[in-house]
Amino acid sequence: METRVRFLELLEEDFRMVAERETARKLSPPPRRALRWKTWLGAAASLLVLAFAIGALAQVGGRKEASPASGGSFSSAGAAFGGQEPGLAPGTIHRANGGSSYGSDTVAGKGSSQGGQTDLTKIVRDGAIALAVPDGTFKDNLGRVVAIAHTNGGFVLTSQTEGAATGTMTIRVPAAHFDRAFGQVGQLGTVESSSVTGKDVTNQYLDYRAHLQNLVGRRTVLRGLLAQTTTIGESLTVYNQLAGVQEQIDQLQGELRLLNDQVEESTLTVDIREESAPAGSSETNGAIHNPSLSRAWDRAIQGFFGIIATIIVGLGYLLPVAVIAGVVYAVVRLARRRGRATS
Amino acid sequence: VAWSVRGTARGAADVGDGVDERSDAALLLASRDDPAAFVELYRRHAEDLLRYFARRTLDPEAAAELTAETFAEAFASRARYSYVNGVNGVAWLYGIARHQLGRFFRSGRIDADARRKIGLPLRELPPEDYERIEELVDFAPLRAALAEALETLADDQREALQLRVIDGLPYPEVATRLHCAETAARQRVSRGLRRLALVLRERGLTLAAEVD
Repeated sequence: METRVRFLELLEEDFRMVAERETARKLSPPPRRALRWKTWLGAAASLLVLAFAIGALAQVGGRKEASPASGGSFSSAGAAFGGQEPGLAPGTIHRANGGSSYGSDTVAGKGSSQGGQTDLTKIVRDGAIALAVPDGTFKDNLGRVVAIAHTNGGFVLTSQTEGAATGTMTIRVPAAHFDRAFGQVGQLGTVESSSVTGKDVTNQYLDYRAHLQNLVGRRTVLRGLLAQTTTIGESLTVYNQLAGVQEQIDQLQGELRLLNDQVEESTLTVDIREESAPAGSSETNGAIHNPSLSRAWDRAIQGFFGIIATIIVGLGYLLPVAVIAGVVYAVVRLARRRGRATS
Repeated sequence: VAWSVRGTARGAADVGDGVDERSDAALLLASRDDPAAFVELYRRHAEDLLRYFARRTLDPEAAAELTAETFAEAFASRARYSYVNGVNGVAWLYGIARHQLGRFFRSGRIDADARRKIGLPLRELPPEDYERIEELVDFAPLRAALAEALETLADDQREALQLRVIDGLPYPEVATRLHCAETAARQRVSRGLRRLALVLRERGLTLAAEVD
């Protein structure tokens, strides 16, 4: 450039340099972008979540293998870490199936129908079982009991753990599945004691039904009389009797509902302890209804280490995969380099 | 007019004894893939653009910086230039120059964003360039208008401009008269001119140089 202005000459040199730099940038492959800390953080979080998921799946798989006699699959991995089923607040009932319903004016009661005849036999069956399980498997087995309850259409009534090695869980399952559930629970460990009680409440049930039928008939008559009364005094008298009858009907319906619940769903109390834990240290329901800060702290610690343990399990699964992937990557890179060198 | 970007831009490259006969538009289009083509565009128009800025700012420092920033902006945004719109290369370049000048008059300062963006060094004006740029502008036609506007300036700036622009003394003589270093004299004149240009613009005066 023909100019006497030195600044313009210098500027031309600067632009020439910028142009050369840009040309070189266009010709060279795009530089690999440095991974920023956010990327690393995201990758680490993803890895942990993946490891946790794999670990949880592995533990559920382990429960399946440990319970070959179970009739269905385990649908929940819960209660493995906290000593209590997740989402199950103390004193609350989590139903896996719907319950019974009763009409307001019908005679409550439900029997099994066999060969066209109604079987009105009513048996209340409850059971209790004490298990000793291998050390380190307490939480897993607690989760398996939950899964057994769900698999059999039941639910966890109460759950309590004492430390990390003993606990008691009370489950309710449909009476038709009681034997199966009892057997499945018994296979989780060494049965130290077990009991099944059966209480025949058929007579009581039939009495209640007959009484209820009478009361319903009486109520019908009183309603008819109430319509025929002509004076206030007569109306009040009939109305009072009708109210009394209605009260008795309500009470009997409640009794029948209770009986039916007891008959249709059996209660199974499961005491679990690890073999090294002292026997008889668990107390049914105590912790659930009397929560304490120290117990909550214990559970929090258990939950924390449970999560860590699950992640470690998952990493154990991931490690060989990562090693194989690394070897494959190295081989591919080596092959490419040799290919380039040859060409 | 449809413009074949790559074919035309590269097809008419260096011809004969090193003289690039491509049009400004062709150079701009070619510079997308071949940034060196932009240097040729710079060589063609740098001095004219410097004169353009110097006549409007009356300030060699500002004119030089505005020239550098305008070319830097053109380089950074050359991918957006399209001849299909009917704008030839030099018109596009002066469009950027007008934009830069407007910002300078509004804010009183010169941005360096484009220079930083493309990695262009920020240079100071060499001492010898002050007079050379003034020669490019030819202040003689401005003297009548300047004499009126000088009254609005600070005493030191007015005295410096009086000696340099109106009396036409060389910088060493100006420095001697002002009892300061030559560099200080140059800066005082430069800043006085910048201020003067702003005052003249605010008063709506038309500089004879701008008519050129």
